[in-house]
Amino acid sequence: MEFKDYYKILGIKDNATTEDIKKAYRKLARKYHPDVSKEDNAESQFKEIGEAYEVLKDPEKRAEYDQLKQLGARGRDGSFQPPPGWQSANHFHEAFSGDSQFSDFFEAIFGQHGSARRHYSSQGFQQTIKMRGDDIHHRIALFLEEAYQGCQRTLQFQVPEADNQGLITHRTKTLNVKIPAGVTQNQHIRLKGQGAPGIGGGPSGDLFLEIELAPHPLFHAEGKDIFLNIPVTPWEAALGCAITIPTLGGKVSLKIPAGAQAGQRFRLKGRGLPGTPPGDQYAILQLTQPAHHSDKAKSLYQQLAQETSHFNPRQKLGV
Amino acid sequence: MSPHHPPITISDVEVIDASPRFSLIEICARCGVDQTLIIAMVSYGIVEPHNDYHIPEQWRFMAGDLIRLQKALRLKRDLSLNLSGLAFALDLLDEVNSLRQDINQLQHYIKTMQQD
Repeated sequence: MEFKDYYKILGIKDNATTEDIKKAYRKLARKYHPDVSKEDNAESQFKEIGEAYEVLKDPEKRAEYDQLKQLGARGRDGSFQPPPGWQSANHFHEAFSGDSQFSDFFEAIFGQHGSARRHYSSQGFQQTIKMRGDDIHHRIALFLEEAYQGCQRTLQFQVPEADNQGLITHRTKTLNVKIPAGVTQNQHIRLKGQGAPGIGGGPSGDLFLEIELAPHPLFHAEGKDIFLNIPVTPWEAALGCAITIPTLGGKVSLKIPAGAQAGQRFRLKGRGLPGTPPGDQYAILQLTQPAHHSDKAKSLYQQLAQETSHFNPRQKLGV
Repeated sequence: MSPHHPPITISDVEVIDASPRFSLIEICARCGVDQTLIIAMVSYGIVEPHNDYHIPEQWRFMAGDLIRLQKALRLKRDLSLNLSGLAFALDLLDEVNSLRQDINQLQHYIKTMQQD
């Protein structure tokens, strides 16, 4: 078992006051709260901080911990064993909470009979109580193509599980989920009864999956609608043309009318994400031209300039 | 650590944002709190109920609201926030998230521009 230095975890000195401990904990809890932090290991950090605080904020537990820190046997590899016959004076019970889980180290010191598992039958939590299991929330990232076609995903997450004596363990649950075609950004999918199991015969919670769409190199999604910038040359826009453009469902032909303007939108009905009704795809015109022109092209442009000299593109600017 | 469990395959899933469907009673059961707290959270604008605001019995919430309330309750518990601080923190988190999404989009856009 690894020895946990609770002082180091909270970044405080061994002689820190209760006020220092509280302050350090509050600051770190804000930083690593899994609902706030984007750091990869936020959840495990948050648990460690909580565990360290749980011990150090309580003068009795802290005294016991300090004693153990001095007396506990340390192996060469840094592994830790409590002294033989160690028993905590604290009868520590934690109210059942789906997402808190203390380390083996903590359980060995403060857990009941040194058990690596924990009871929640104290203080009003009796076997007769019937409670619905917690809902579990996860985000899943999809590529736009996957959202368009639907896809299958394998998810793994931890669920608390209580045996018939009320002992809590966590186990890894694996689900193969079929994501239907046409899901959109931030949309939720419910998997009934796949959350945390209920207590005392209560129903299981649900699993909610929130869809997160990865940015796409070409397309941009808003709800079920898909947006795509279409570069055309000035002469294509002036003369009109038929061009081939990509959609999520494959290439399609789009007719650009003569005299089309930059920024103009063309709607391809029903070519967005599927559904009832399906979304549309919008093609947004962008004008582009070669960076360099040949001498011949330049002289053609000069002719064009003379031909359309009456047109003032900056009329609205008052110049 | 945990005994091995075979994967469960689920092909029957429900896309649930089409309509608000959770009543106040259901929300309370799922959050494990009583109505007074949820009503107070609504009065701070942490979530907006659908249907008539003045009749809590008729309130309906979306799945996103439920998840937001559960998140709010975790933050309230773990960081000892009062409701006003909680509402403020959630608003700021929303803003941070939306800015992060914008930054992602922009970085992505810059990358494609550089490739051209």
